[in-house]
Amino acid sequence: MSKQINVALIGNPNTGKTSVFNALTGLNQKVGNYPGITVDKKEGICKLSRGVKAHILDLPGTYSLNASSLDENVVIELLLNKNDKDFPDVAVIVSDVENLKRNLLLFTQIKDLKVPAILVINMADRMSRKGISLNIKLLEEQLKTKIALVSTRKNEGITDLKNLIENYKTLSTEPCLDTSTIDSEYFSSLKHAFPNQDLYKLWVVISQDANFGKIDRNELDFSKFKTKSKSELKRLQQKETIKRYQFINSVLKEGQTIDVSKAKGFRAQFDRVLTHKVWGYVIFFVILLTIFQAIYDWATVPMDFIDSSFASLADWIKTAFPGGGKLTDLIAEGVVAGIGGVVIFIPQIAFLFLFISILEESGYMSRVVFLMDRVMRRFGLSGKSVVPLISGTACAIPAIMATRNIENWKERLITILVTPFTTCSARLPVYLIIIALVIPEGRFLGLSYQALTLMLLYLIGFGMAVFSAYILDKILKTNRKTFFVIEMPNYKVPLLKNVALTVIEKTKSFVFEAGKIILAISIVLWVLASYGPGNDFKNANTIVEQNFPELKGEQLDNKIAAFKLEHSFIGIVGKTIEPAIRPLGYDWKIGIGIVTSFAAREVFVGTLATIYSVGSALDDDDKTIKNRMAKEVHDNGDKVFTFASGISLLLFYAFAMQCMSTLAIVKRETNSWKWPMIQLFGMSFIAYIVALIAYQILK
Amino acid sequence: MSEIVQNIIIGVIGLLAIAFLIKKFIWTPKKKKPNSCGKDDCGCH
Repeated sequence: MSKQINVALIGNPNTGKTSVFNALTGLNQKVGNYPGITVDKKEGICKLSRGVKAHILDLPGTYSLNASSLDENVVIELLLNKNDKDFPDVAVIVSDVENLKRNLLLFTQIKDLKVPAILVINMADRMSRKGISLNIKLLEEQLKTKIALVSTRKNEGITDLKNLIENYKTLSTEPCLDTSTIDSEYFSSLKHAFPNQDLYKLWVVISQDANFGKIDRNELDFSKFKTKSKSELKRLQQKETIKRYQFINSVLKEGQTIDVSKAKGFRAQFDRVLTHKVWGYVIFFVILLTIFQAIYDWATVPMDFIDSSFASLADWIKTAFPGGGKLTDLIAEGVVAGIGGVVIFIPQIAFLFLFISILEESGYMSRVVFLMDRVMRRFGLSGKSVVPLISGTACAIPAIMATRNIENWKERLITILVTPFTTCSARLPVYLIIIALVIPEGRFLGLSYQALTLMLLYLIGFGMAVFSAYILDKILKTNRKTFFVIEMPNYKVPLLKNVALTVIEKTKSFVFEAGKIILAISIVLWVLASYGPGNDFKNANTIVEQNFPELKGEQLDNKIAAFKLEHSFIGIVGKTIEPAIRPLGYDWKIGIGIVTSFAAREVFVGTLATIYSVGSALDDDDKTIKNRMAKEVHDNGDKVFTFASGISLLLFYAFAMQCMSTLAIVKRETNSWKWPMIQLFGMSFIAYIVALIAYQILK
Repeated sequence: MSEIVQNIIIGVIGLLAIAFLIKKFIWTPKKKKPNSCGKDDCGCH
């Protein structure tokens, strides 16, 4: 009969915990150097001998059992809740051979919870290079555990670890530290008040700053026990940490020897340059510029290919089923266009995450976070806000999810609120078409006006994010100061497998998560644009034929389609909002584009492509969307897309919160509709005012 | 296929799309509020 062992994989950030998870389970999972990259529980199955299976849970990286972020709470809640279905039969604590002393703090805490624990000493391949030698037998005796010396890079020690997991029942649950020695008086009264509770578990629950979702501190009856003040509890926590380090020092004094003369490495020299107060920034911005340039250069070809492939597919469907009626139209114009709108962004997202993953894997991203903290802190942000702001140039959704490892709530909230200002890839198609329409061709210092405008829009987006953060920092009140502590992992050559897994995972997540939403919205929009109330929509053919008897063939079909669109549900919406957007220089057709863009920005170009593909006669020059838009005129004969209206539209898109998926993610991350609503109305208000001012000045 | 049948199918597809969006964004099953937002009084709950 098969049996399953619950295993919790726990460890400090950057100990290669996720690599151990990959080695045990073979599952695709992200491995990174950026602190706290694992933000969710990840699980997998590892087959042991004799039909026994281990259910492995990869928990977020944590330095101790004193939770300071959402990620760390996950670990503590699991270890304290025996009723949790994932409560571990055995905890595997992963440590890094170069940081054993610091890593053992968490190990001793978990050991004291009386959970059977195995210590994994990872990155063993670095021992000889760093002059480290370990007396494993002695360490096992002193720490009252079993140790697996592992190198995931060389795939060594994994079989030993599997054997230890299988035989977890033989592990000692004897604690490392006698809890009552922290403060004998306090702990003896605690024991007296709660005789049936485990003393250390009780202490962990009482001493946490954060409440838990699953374990309620208030369930403990404190009427018989007078607990200490917050500051006194903090002092006891510090005393506990000192006692633990005294124990760890005594263990390592005998069990570990480091021959500094044998240690080799260029880390210090690299760090001096990469975190230099001038060169550090220069190198970072050169790397960023190279990344963006590469994204545009490399992504253009596959994007054009995808675009034309989907256009051909839609054409083919219409040609292959000429009598298919509305159902064919739905598939060609709604479903295929919707899927195309998702797939076209794959190259950019894949390239961006390729670069971000390489930066994380190599250890450089942590240096960037450290470097940027100096700047970001002035604006109420954290150094860790840099990663979301950079990721936001691809898509705000993963970027907002990446804020989970920012410990301070205020900094995290501000980062969540301002990240959508950074220019995401969905804005790009809008920018490209409007810039091509309204910015003249020509060059300044060898750079084209159009390229400079695009760059300026990126800078405006980032500038607005930082400026808004500054304002929010002044508005949002918190009585807590935060301190920025970051670990600098060693530099490593990125593992191709890990980079590839990251790119595949992120791209898959975009296609299957955001993709489903965009597809559903495309279908709804198509239905709203293809049906309408009243007789005008119903009798569109007759009305147009009567009013324009001179039109024939394609011209007549286009005019009918334009008339129908104007009287469709979505057309009515566009006409209704027209008075509000007129002062910005837009007509009702752009209004429809803006309304649909509130679902997702990328829908704008598709909507305009539909709207402007109808109407006046088409010759060969008019077949591109750009030319059709360029010829669009108001009722009075003035051009719709002028320099003034174009700039107004660009600024509107730069600032407006037009992404339902982002709002949904913000709701999930803040556990409230308040913040996404503030974001929606606040950003859209700013966008409206800026666009209005720009148009009124430039017209 | 008659126009009425096509309209019905389109209506059903449209409603399914709307239902999916509502389920995704608006209607989510109630969970116990996690009161664990970090060290400060974040006001997120």
